[in-house]
Amino acid sequence: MTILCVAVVAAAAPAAYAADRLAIKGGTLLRASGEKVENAVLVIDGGIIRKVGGADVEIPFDATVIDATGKTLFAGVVLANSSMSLDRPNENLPVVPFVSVYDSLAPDSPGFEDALRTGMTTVHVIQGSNCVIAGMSRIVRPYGAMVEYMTVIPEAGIKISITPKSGYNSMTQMAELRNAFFELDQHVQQTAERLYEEEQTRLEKKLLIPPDEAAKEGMKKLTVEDLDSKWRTLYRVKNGELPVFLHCESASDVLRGIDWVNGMNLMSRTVFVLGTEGFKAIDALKATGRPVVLSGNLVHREIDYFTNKETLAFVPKKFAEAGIPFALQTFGGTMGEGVIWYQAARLVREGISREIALKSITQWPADVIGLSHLVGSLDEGKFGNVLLLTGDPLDQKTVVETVVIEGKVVYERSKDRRLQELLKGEKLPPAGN
Amino acid sequence: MQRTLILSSVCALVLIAAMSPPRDASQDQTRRGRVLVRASRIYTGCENGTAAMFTPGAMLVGDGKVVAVGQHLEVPVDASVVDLGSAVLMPGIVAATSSLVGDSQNVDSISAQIRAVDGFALIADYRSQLLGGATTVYLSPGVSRLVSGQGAIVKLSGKEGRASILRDAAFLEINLGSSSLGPPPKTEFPIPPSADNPIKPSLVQLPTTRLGQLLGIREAFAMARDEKSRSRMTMTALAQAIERRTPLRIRAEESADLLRAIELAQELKHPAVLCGAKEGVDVADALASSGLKVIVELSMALTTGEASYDPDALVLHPETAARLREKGVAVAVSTPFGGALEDLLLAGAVAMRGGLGRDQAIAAMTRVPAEILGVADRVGSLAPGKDADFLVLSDEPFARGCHVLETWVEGRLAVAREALFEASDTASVVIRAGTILTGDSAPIHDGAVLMREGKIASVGRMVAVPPGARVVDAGDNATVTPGFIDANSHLEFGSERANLSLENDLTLAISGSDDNARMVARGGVTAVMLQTWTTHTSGTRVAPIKTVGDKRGGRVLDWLAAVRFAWPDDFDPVDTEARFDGLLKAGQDYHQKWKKYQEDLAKWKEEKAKGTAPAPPPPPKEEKPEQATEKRADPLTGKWDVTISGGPMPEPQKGVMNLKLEGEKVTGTFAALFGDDEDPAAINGTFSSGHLLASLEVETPMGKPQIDAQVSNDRMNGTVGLGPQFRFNLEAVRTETTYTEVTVVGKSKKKSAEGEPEAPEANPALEPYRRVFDLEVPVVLEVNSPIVVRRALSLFVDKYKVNLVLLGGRGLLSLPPDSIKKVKGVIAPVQVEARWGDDLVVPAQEFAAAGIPVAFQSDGATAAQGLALSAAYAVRKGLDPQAALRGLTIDAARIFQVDDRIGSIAPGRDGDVLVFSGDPFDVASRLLHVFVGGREVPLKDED
Repeated sequence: MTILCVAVVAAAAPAAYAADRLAIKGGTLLRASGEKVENAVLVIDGGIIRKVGGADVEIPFDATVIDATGKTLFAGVVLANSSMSLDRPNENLPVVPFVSVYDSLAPDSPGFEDALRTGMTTVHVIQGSNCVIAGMSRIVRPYGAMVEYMTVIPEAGIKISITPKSGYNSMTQMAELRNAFFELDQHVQQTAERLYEEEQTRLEKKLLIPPDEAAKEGMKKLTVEDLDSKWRTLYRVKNGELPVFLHCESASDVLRGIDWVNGMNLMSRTVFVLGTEGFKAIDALKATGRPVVLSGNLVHREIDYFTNKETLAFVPKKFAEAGIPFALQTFGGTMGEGVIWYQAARLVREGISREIALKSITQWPADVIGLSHLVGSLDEGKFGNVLLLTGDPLDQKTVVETVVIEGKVVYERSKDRRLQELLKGEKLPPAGN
Repeated sequence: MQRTLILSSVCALVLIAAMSPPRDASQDQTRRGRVLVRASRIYTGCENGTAAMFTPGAMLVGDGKVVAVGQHLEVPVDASVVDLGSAVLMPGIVAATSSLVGDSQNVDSISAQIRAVDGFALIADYRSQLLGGATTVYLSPGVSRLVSGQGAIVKLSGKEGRASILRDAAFLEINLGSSSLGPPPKTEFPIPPSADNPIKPSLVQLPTTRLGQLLGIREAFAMARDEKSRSRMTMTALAQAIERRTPLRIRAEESADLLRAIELAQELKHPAVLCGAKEGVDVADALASSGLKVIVELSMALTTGEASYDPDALVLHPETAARLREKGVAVAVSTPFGGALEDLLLAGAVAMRGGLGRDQAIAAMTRVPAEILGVADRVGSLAPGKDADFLVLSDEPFARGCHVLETWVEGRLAVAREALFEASDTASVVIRAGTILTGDSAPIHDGAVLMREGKIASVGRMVAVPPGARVVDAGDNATVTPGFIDANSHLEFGSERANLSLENDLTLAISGSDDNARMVARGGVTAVMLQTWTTHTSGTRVAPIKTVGDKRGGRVLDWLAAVRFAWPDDFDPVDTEARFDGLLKAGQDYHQKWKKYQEDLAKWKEEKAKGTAPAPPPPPKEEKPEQATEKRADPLTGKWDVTISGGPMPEPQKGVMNLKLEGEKVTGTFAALFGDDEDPAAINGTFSSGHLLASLEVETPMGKPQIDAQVSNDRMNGTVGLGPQFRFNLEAVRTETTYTEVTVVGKSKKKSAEGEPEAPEANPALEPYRRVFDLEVPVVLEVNSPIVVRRALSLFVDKYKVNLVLLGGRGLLSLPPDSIKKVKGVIAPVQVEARWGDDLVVPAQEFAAAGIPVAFQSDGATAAQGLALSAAYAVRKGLDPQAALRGLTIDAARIFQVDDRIGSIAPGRDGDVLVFSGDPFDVASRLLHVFVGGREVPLKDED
């Protein structure tokens, strides 16, 4: 009886938080490692998973309970590199660290709807790679009426490309990249000098010292606020305060990128966003110890110039064998964002373990975006981002029935009006077959 | 300001340190195995210390470096030997100019911050450039800006097979002349644009005139020295280059520009080199007194489709390098910016055309550019301690037929031409020798033979040398002859004395190359006339085959070269003549029958096409085909004892089946021998090809039982199925058979449609005669006594008009000349010398002197490997060497009428060629090379 009442309440108030506490019971919890918990119980409170375990876990009396019998519970998918909903992935100008995806994010974009439909609960929205230095990125949940409500991390990182922007070649690209930081240095110097002079004026001192000394003194007091708004983001990048997503399409770009990053002392903050050829520099990548984001195109194809023979290489396999954690994406491939499950399943088909395939869409992208303490798996202390699937995640017949983001039911397939409209007249296959 | 400088220097230093080639974790410090390379000549590129050339040459390579180089070196225990044979080695070319990274075309006119090294792909395919000869390459940032940037020096491969960077900022490039005039205007966008900070119109950049170029450089250098202007990266980069004394590399083509360049270098008091120097000859004295080193870019002025619109591009100055060098200027030679590194060897050839000696041209492309670029401690020459970068060439460097066969970088084979282009039959071979005996015509002196795709392509004083061709230079004393032919060989039959008749196809005895055949080939015999040891009374075939070829097909020249008969002296002549007469008559009739058929067929086809074919004759009365009745049992009809077991049944059950087969329909009954005495159940089904499918007409809750069984030889095996779940095993044995009467119908004659002539029946024993009487192949007759020879001549030649060849044929010489002329040729006896009557003669010579074409035989299997030696012995004993050669080659081919394929060196013939170290019939001569079908037969055994 109580359950019925609670369910009625839940059904009547879809927009607001149905209850502060949510419990999911009866389903089979599946971890990326393959570990299964039958009749699992998950208790989410205040958006965080408080308890996860078997049927013996106590369910608070005031929690909304979702009966997940016959369903598989799985962690929400994390997309580590996406330009979802941005009207244009890049600017015309090559160096634009002062822009932010905040201004372009469209909460009502069908992309976010699709994201929910396919079980994505965390999306890192970042500009594309046709740039030298792009702007600030943001980590969002694909649910919310305004960007502020969607935002999980407002300042997630910056995209820098070693691969030449269109119209550039490698020489001019690297010169432009170095020039941006050169000009930043110039500006910082000048600002420091000015600060020192202003201070002297205020204190009514008339100490005359050479400009570099003045700059040195001024640096002691300099904060990022003193800089022109144009340069603030780049200053923070230079000081290692922001992650750098470094796009390197060819293997030679990877080597060049590694050299540049080492020169800037930013290796610990760098993630490599690769093209299909990246595996040729896999030894150098392994030595950096940094995670990578793979291109959506999983197969590298080469035709020998002399013999005309074609060689194909399945890129994720190379990284799996080298022990480098990688995040999958669909950008750059021929499929859309929604079929990331298919990408993961392809890994298994090529002989990679299920564990790696499932990690590559949950834990590893969480590592890449620096949010592994909050998303990527169903563990206590992490966000309650749970998917209720009709079967095994890598089975092509499985669909997403329910999506829970931070303890809130944000998607139910049965209530998905657009999907139902599309499938009208067609006999839906019975769930679980 | 200083802080920025320190920061930038630190960054730059870190960058330079980090620019070292990527090392993978698995690389260890163990010394790699050493290699001793041998070649017919090594050009070292050295000037002092090591000699410039070693003939022959040997070089010890270890750990990527040259350990030792000389004429002969001892092989250390730990070294493997690479014998490059007749190849010529030279140091890897140091390409002093290249557009490998393109032209950066950065917007700034003074782009000192552009670095060519940024454009270099460390992981890329450089095989094409390596095959052009380039091992070390200077990367230019471009030619379209006054100061285009900083050039770099790279190696295209290395010990680990990866490219590497030698110097990441080697020169600061300045471009005088027309290429850098008129740079694009520069637009700067203030962000954000506002009323206070508007978008200004584009800035026009200088220089637009040659004077402007000089002023522009002076201004830039002055600005760079002034601290205040360091707010722009390009000025900072320029200042750093000046401070570090990075040498300038000034491009100037025309004489006025060259003079300005010299002036500039002296004015700026900065180390510099010049490059381009198209009109260098005009200012040679000024260049000499300036002491500046010059990189001369020699172009080829090729016309490629659309004509070049720059008239200067077509003006070739090949003599620039030679003339400047004469004046004492240090000169390196390279391809022009925008030229392909694949054409490096051409630049050297153009330099030689302009007057440089070969040694000088080699040095100008190796050691001298290495010195000018400042990397001579590593590359540019083959001396102890230098990188083992060398080219394996097919000919003297820069010669017409010279192509790079292999490129080695740091002691590792980086690329081999052969591996890239499909080898085997399509490989071309050029053989050069002092004398070429083509077989028929006059000898060619100092000539060459070109073989392509297994055939002779051309022969003469000069032949084309296609790229990738293997060039065999046998030397002035060598002689090239066509491959030898053994006119009577039992090669494939070994010791087998099978008596095969005329209907047996001999080519079936051949497999692919076997060891015996290859042994014979090494002796110089490239083709043999294959025959059995004994000749059948009705004749045997002779088949022409090669001694070497891949697969069977490659060895078979034809299925028939001759028909062989034997007419021993001791046989009854009358009987034998009658026998041969009979054989020949049968053969002739067969030939006539077929000839008539072919003529009729041709005529009929012609008339059919024209539509004037005569009306077909009315079909004859329907002939009743033969009929006979036979008693036959069909496989199924009868009584069968059945056993059913398996499935859920506890014990096998027995039953009896009575089946009747009508066509494919089966009917019958099944009675079980258990349970109640029920009525037998009916069976209905089908039977075809031994497979019985039937159902039992019994209703059960699971449907009707289905029988599925195989039947043969009175036995049946299969299953009985009941519903989808139950399956029982079925076995049955036929105990009674019922015979049915069956009528057997004889074969009815096939009626040919519309009056088409009927082909006669083919008889393989007589097929060879068709070719004999078409005069495509001769008859070989083993015969000796003069009486028999006379009879044979009158029978074979006069009566039946076939081409006749005698084997042995001693008696021929006793006959009058017009009889002798009737014979197409004689296969000389095996013995080089024989006693004929009282005289010791060389039979071959006797025949040759009588004007009869002679061929040689081994009459053995592997004995043929001595054929060449026998001929040499015969020549020593008095056989005319020309006749000897002809007998082994063209005459043998003509006798057997296979001279369209073998026997001579002429375009279109098979590439069967022998290379002797001297006169082929000088016993002291050796066979150096044997080619069959354009491919060399290795003269040493391969494991």
